[in-house]
Amino acid sequence: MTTAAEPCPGEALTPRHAPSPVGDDETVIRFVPLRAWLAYDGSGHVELTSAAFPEQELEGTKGKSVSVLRHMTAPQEILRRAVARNREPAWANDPVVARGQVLPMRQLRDYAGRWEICVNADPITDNLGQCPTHAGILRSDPLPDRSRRLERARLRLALASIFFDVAHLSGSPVADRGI
Amino acid sequence: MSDLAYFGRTAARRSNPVLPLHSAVPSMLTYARYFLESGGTEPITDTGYYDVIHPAHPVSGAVTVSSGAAVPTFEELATVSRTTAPARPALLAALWDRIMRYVRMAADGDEDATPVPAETIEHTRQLLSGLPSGVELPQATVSADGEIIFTWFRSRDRLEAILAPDRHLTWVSRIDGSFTDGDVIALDKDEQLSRFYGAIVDFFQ
Repeated sequence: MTTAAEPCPGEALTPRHAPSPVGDDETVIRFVPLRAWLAYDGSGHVELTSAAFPEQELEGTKGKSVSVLRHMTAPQEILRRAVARNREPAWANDPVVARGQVLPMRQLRDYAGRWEICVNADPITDNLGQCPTHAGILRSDPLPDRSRRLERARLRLALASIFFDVAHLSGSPVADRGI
Repeated sequence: MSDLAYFGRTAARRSNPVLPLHSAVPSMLTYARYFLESGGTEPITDTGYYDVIHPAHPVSGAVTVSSGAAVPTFEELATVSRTTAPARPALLAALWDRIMRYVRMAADGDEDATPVPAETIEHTRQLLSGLPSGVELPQATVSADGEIIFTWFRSRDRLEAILAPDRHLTWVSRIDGSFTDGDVIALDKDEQLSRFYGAIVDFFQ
């Protein structure tokens, strides 16, 4: 975890209603609302693509972030929110989520060796109610620099690889529908 | 007669690695089961030969369905039957259908999503139609940024290309777990696509 002097000062904070800052040893859950976020390696393994990490969310546009739930979120709350966020009719009763560890995200560095990703505790209140265990993933440098396309593309592929555990909430594998 | 599925693999495409049968089977069965249970673009309801189109392992197979079975099921892989690859135009058409479906879905239900511009769709068409014939077709996904993203796998290695609404194509890869920069090209310069095609060929070599 960083300190206030480092690129992610928000990581050290405990916002109101949050149980704690997000720890390095935590696992976070990303909802997968669309099959359009997934690719299949041909051997039965499914991975997120860069579609799961839009630039506008990584950059914090309009107050957004890459929305995740922390590991201590109650299973029934994960299910309730996953069902609400799901947009694939075939997954309505058993939504798909991706799980990733926080530490590898915080170990990502840009070309200059700078800390690239912040994982902040970010309690929210939305149309589904209060969620104190919500967290947000953001680029440490939020300024969109269009000249750094490769760096940003590499970051998105790295995040997709960190969230390597993709499955239905029940634990069932996601069926490969091919092309 | 019990339900049986016979699937053959193809090694006809140069970029498609010849995998041991046992490692290819689960994915094929999963895919075939989808056809049987959900009804794909060509639902299987009768005994016969069918093309099963899979992005990494295109196969043709024969399926025997029990008469009167409401939902056919597989019991066991029995034997390899045919090894004819689906025609490239059929694969391309299936991929195109998927992209257009995802383009529509990405825009529906997400008020903050950037719709994929018509120009990006046209660039996608050009990119796919120009792929060298020996290069495997990618999987394609669509982001809320209005991008179309192409993904190729070679075992666990992966090449990902992002076609952005501002006419730039960026690609990066993951080789043996390490991330490698590819390049960025502007798509208003036709000759630059050849660099991208060369990178894909290199990825599979």
